[in-house]
Amino acid sequence: MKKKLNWIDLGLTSYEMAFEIQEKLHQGCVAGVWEDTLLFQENHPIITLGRGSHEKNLLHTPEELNARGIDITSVSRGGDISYHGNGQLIISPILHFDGYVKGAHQYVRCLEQIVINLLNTYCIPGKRIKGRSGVWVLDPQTGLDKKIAALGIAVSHGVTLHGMSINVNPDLSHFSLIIPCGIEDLGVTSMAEFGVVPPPLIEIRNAFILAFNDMFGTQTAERKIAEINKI
Amino acid sequence: MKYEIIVPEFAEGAEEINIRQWMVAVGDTVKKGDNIAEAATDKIAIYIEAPADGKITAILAEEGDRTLVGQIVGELEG
Repeated sequence: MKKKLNWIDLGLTSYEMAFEIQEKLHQGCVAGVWEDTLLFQENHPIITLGRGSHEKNLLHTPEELNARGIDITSVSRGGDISYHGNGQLIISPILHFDGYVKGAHQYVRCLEQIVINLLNTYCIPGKRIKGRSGVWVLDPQTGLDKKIAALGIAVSHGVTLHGMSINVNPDLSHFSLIIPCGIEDLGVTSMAEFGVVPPPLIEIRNAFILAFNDMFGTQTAERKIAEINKI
Repeated sequence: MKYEIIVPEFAEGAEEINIRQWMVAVGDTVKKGDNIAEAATDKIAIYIEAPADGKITAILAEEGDRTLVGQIVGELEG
């Protein structure tokens, strides 16, 4: 029998509101009153500082960023500095990861592989780079590898938080406000920049669900945001 | 009874992780399962839980220290 998994799509929302929901789902999973869930969202522009952040990778003051309509916040995931905004799909699997993989490293490698498989369906050759998490693609024009999907997770009480973001069609100029993930020598790209007519995020969401189910043999069912209030 | 606070095995083959933050201090009272410290690798943040109800009696690793899986990083009296 296939393992059952929920998915919820918050649509375009603020990072803070989405994180509140993420924490609520996490508490429900830890308490055993809510099943494992894939949480999808698109955020208004925001720069997030992970637990491994370095100040030097933030190239502007919070005041300058706010003047451009970009918020900034510290978050509980691993990793350095990252940008989230419109046109980027964020996937936060809230799940008991030991039911899927052996350990947190294997979990993040599986998330990367799911995105690589997803990108392959759009003829984008995603790959890993040793020692650098996330999913990368080779830009044939510059010969440089560019990051197309970023990753950072947290594990508390055996249940995961945070996850991945896939650049579908974000404003890539916003990434120049930071040194993404603290990596100076490589760039950031998107599916749109790679010649894909930008699909709606809902299409990428559905492709991720399919790729996740293929990877883990799971069966997913949509749950509504209103149901979270019952946790 | 004395309990050891140990860096948990968080990933197959992984041996080291940095202590990022202690969320308790010596003398604090905790309950079994409370998150008491945060540790992180490059992309993974994990929380170290209290092994029992009790009072924190020692913190043996500083924030920023690189620790080994299985290392004793604190003690509590339950």
